[in-house]
Amino acid sequence: MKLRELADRLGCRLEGSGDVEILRVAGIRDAQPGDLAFVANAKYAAELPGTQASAVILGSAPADQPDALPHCAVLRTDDPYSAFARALKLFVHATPPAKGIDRLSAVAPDTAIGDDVSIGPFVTIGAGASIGARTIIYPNVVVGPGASIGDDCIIHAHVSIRERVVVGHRVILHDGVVVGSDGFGFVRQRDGTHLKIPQHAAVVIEDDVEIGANAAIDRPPVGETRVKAGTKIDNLVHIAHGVSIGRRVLLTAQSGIAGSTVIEDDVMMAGQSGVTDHVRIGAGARVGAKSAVLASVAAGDFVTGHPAIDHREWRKASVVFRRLPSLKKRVDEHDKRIAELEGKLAGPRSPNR
Amino acid sequence: MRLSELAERLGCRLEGDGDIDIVRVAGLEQAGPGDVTFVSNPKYRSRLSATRASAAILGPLSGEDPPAPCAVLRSDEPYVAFAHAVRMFARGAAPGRGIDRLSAIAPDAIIGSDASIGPFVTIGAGASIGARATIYPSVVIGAGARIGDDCVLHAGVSIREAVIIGHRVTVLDGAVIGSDGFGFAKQSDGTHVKIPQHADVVIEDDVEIGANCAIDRATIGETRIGKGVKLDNLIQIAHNVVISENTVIAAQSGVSGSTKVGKNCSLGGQVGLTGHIQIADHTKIGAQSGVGKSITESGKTYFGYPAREVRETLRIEAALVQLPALVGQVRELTNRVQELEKSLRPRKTRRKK
Repeated sequence: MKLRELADRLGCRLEGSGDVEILRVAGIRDAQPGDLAFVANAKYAAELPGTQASAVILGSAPADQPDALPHCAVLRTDDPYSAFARALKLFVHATPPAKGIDRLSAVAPDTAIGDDVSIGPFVTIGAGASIGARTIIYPNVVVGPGASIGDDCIIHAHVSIRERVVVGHRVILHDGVVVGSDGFGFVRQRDGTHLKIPQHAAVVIEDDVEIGANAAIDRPPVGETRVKAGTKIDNLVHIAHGVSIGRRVLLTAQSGIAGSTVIEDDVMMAGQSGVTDHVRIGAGARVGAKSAVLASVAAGDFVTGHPAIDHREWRKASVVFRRLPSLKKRVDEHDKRIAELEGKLAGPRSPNR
Repeated sequence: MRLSELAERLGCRLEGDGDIDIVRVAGLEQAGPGDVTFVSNPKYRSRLSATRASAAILGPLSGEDPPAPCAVLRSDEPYVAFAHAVRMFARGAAPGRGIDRLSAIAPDAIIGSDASIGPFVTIGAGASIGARATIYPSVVIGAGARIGDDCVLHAGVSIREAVIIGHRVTVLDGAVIGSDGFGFAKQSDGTHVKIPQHADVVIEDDVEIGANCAIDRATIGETRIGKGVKLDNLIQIAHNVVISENTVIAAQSGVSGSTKVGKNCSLGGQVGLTGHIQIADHTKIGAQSGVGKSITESGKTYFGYPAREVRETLRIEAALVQLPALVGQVRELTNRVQELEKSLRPRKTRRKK
């Protein structure tokens, strides 16, 4: 594709020759002639002068201006990362599996299967389940009785969608995801054993959600567990029973949400962070990596730490931590000096004045 | 196997009767006649005298050793000798040689000689499996993936399309290799557009990957696990990460995108590494540490959240324990200073008189 056409299709301003032929998309370091690269993270701006790429996507905001420009053509845009994502879609295509239902699958007779689906071998689809049009189901997926999956979904290998779970349209579930497993609910009895509380209520995954490999989303005994539209969940994330996750939320790998907690719209939680049960994380709030959130967080706040506190406070505190060992010494020193002063003052007089 | 033969095969010096027949490898306390046991941790030396084993693999003679009540296999590396002994006597549960008739193998897939492929295994178009590979039930291997010789893939493993795996690699149950990296570009309306993730994932020779690990693929560039790396269960490896040779990572750790871990490092359980950093060779990182910055000097030990050199963290931890007492001490000092100030003021007035 000529760079001029690419600039047009990506909605970028072209700086340089539009006649260059672009064949691939590549990283700024590995790019070769014929490649389109991008810089959205300032860390990589230093790579620009040395790149072999034929064109580079750069931000147009004043803050995005690198110290030195590359020697190749530039595509300018307000949002270089989005432009790069769209460029990738133009150049990179995954090969979808063949349409149809593999003869080595076990599909119950009373299921509703949409048009143009692709169902791989060793897939089990339970009684009364429904699969939307053009949905792709990879091998060894199990869809429980009464579950419903929308149109244009991609369900990767070994996913378990348990009975009566509802999955919307354009949802992507990566390998090994489990949706609708039993919540961790037990009543401790007098003899010390734990009685299982049956967990049979609803789990709903709304449209345009993506869930990473080996993540687990539990079902509650009553009420529902819900992940709202456009939310993206990374690998190995745990969502407990009765949790509600808002729209456009980002949950990074290995984070966990305990039972009945509400995560409002546009929240971002970094890797290995955890939120306790029955609290609310307000809209647009952010949680730092490895943080433990033990209380509700107001909308728009940024918390970090274990337990999580205001991010700026935590940064200050973590600097102070380093000085703690010497602080103890200083306080001991003051203790000594005060004792000396007390001694000097008390010295000439009798102890009980 | 006669003990003299075992000694020879393990490269150990035999002390005692070489004619004993050895049938099993067992722990110090469970071992009985016919068993070979081992002591490599000095903590267990004292228990040696009570063992009922027929032979024990021991390290170089030391004055602290109690006399062994059985024959001895003397080795400079008793733990390594033990590992080899276990391998000699181990009985796996591998599927039989050949391809199970309940598997779905694409017609153009290449299967090496003497491979064992269990039931419900799917092997995609153009994939290749090396000689003597063992593929347990329900493994799914995507189109174009390449698996080397003598690999063992346990049940429910997902190897996604075009992933490259070397020789003698073991992947434990439920692990996912080549799932999409967590890459989205935020658009002006707050929604996230998916950035396609189709780049290479390379697992080099002699790697072991634990149960339910997730190793992501990138948009461009590659994700690489170096030769001899060992990953425990439930580990997250994000897109573009490089883990270099012989590094060992314990369970539930996570490595964020584009981070490069050096050679011969060891990471404890639940460690988190942030994105775009480098960890020098021979670095040790303690359990539950959170590393937010590059570690540039090799051979150091780090610990804590945020991770610092272990001695500093331990000093801080020691000071933290004293913190409540320190607060009390400062309060007391404040009172004493106030007392001093009070006692100084009236004296001054007295002097004036």
